[in-house]
Amino acid sequence: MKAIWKLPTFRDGNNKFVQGETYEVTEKQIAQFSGFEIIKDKKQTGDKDGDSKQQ
Amino acid sequence: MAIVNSNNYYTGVVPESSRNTQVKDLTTGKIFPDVLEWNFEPMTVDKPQKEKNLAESSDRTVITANKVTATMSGNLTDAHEILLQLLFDDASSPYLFASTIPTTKSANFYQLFLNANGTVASYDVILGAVITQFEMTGDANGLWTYTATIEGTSYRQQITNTGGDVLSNIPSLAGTVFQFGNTTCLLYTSKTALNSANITITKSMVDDKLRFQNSMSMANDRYIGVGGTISFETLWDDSADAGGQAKKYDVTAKANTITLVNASKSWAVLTYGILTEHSRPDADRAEFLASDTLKLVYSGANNPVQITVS
Repeated sequence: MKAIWKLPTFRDGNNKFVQGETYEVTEKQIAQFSGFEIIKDKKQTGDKDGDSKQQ
Repeated sequence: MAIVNSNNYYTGVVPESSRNTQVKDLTTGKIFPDVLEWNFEPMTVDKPQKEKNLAESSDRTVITANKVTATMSGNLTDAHEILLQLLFDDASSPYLFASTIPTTKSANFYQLFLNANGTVASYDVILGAVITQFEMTGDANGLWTYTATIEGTSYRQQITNTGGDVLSNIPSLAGTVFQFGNTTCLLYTSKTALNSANITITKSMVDDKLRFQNSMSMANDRYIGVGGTISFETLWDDSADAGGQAKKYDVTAKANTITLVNASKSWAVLTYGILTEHSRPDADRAEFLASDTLKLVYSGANNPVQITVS
């Protein structure tokens, strides 16, 4: 799943999470690092609304 | 035999893909007109042997481990970003230290001796080299300079650039200097002007026993700590500097950003540190100067040092 790193840029070993950037992450990483905000399907719904308005 | 002019060399840095292996294709490297001074510094042991003579015998002291030390120094340019990658063991900006041990990046450091045509005639190379300390210094009316402290695993000296030892794709000189006059800053005192600054970033490597184990050469370049200091001198301000003494060791990490700027790039060096020194020495020309030193620390949310290249 995709998630945004919200906290200041952080490195753990060779992993690096830059503030405000989106990453493909595992559930284990989400559990391990508390700085992720999971991207919900909200954005897709928004796009559909936009399409229908144009039509 | 020939005399060698110490002006006739360039210094090259090439990341290694496999540790302690010479990279002869310099495509991924950078060449600088910088100073490289290096020494083979073996560890030795004196054998407790009977000499049968009043003098020490030639075989009494034996080499037990191989180590190379070096320093590289010169004017800091935007092309020296390659050294940040080695220092932080990080691939791209923003450069910062990891909270748990990463894979330590190593490199070949070349001293390329040039002939009259400016092409490489011969070279020295330090293999399996890591940067353990990086110091950036700037002073009013000057250029930013740097010194990198290097520890290498092995070396090859005065290798003729021919046959199987020929170097390919040697890049041309790279980088534009950072003028101190183009530097911007935002210090913990809210000051935006400074007279001079020094940022020293260090890595503490594991003990030699762990670094060598049952090997004659370094097999392990892991480090057990990172840190450093930032110090700067500014004009004394009777309000901004008034509480300075009380801020020493006040367990609050203070942010100081110093941004090195040239025409194409900027390096924003954001540090968090504990104030360890805040002095106001009597000035030569009747204006008080404030001299601050901070020890770089992890504040719980912010990295001790983060360099953003843009």
